[in-house]
Amino acid sequence: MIITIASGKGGTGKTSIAVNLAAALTQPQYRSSEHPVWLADCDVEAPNDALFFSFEFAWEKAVKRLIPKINQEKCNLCGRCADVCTYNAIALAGGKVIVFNELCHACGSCAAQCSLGAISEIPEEIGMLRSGKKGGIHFLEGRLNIGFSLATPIIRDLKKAMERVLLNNNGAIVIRDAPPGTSCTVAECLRGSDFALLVTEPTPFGLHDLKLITELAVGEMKLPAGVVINKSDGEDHLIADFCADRNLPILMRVPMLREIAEIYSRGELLIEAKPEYQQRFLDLFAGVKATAVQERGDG
Amino acid sequence: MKTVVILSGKGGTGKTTLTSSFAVLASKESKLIMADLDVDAANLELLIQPTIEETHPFYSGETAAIDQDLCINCGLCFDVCRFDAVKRHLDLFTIDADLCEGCLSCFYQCPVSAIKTIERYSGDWFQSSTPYGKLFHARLKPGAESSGKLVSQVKSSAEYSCKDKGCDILLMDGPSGTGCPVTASIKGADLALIISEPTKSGLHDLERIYQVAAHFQVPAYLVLNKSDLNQQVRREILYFARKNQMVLLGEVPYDERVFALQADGKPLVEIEESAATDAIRLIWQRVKLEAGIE
Repeated sequence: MIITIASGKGGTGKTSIAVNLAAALTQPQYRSSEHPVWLADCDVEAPNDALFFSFEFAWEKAVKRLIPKINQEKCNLCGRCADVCTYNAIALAGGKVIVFNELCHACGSCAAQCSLGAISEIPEEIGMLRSGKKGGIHFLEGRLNIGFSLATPIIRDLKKAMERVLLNNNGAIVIRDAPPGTSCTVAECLRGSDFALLVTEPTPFGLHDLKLITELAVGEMKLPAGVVINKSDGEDHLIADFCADRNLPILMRVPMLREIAEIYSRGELLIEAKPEYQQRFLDLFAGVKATAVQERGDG
Repeated sequence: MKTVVILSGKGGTGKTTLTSSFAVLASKESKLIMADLDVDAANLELLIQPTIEETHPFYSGETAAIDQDLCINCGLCFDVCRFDAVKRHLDLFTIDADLCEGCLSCFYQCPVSAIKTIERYSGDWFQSSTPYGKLFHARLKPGAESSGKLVSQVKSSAEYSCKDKGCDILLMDGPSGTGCPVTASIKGADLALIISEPTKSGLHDLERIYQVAAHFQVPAYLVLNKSDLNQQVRREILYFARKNQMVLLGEVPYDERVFALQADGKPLVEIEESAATDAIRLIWQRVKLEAGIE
């Protein structure tokens, strides 16, 4: 089962929910089954899950994309490459063809269209994947290199690496920690998931962005979904009304407490600092499973 | 004209809360234009009550589609597509518009010109009036590609308006992360204001966004929000800033009430007098000084 944790708004607690859920499901005394648990940090622009564990990283791989390189001696400045590049990553200036790497989508169109064979494609590292283990948690993360723009290919490679692992592990539980927002990177994380767990906070910002992510996850991608209201001061009818209206179950509430913010700030797990949360995260998982099954039945 | 972009790396550190308050303070002394560059989670409008004056649809290039009447099922498009957007069903080829990145490599290479292009609607951008000056903002269609291009569109419209009207300051609320919307936001700014918080995640993401600013040679300044949440991480952040000669413009104390006050939909400095708002006022004075705003 693949659960993607998304939020629209940043800083609502995706990482908190993801790391604690993964940890709760792998505590030896509570583990109800032998299903392996994978935590996949897909927030490749700001990957923070690993800060909560001291993983031993056993595997690392560069993510590369083919970036064009112009052989200026062969080039006759016809400008075809610049014309076909839909990302404005190639320009003719000062009697030279210039490539802006950070805009390049590595589609290969320019090289295919160059009639003189003056464009070669060189693999360039745009990010990396790494994997490790700690206790019962298997971990995989992607990181986008600074100065590069393309986060989606890293998420795609991460998903492919994950697929290979899951070939022999049908019953694995995968928790994907998505980036904030509702753009293509988030869509890529949600694609192929079995459940969207939407983390929000009871502010107008939280509600505004919850609506957007619901539109994407439920409206467009037709995923079963549930909501976690984080930083709830009890006055969360703003969110609760929306959830009731859209038939989204509220699967967990975490109160607005300075103590909890401090636990997070130290990079500690809530389930360890406040053990009563162990059961609450197991309940959250039970809620996710029940909602997913029910929706499958309905649909 | 001076452009100030507010960034954070990590989401939820307080970019929008601070930007809205800076807008109030800036508009009292200067002619101001604002831009919300967080196009896929645009929240500044919730605090500064814009009245939309102009709506423009945003088309981010084109996607490819196969005309089955002309297609000879050669499969070249399937071979050249690097985004797995061309799907094969026995001898039939189709394009999944959700996966198509619009590079049009297949369009240019199809031997029988069976591939057509369809303009891709990716959202809208707006020009609005607010009590503090004009606001340029947008709404990305959820899940759409090209959020970086939409950011560039909003930003260039705001820049044009700022120059055209002879405004002093362009204040831009940026997106989180370090990817394409962020690089589109930061390029060419006079000053990047990085809002961090003393959490392990905050520090980690500060290190990354600082490098982005350095990469694009934009001077980066630090504001530490919720600064008394964790003294040890706070010291680590201040050490990081000192080591990298990133000037600390101020610290805003953790204030739980800020959270509830947001519900009023007003900038913090308009509804509250507290240690937090005192700090915000001081920080804005220092931003003006550093950016050379009269």
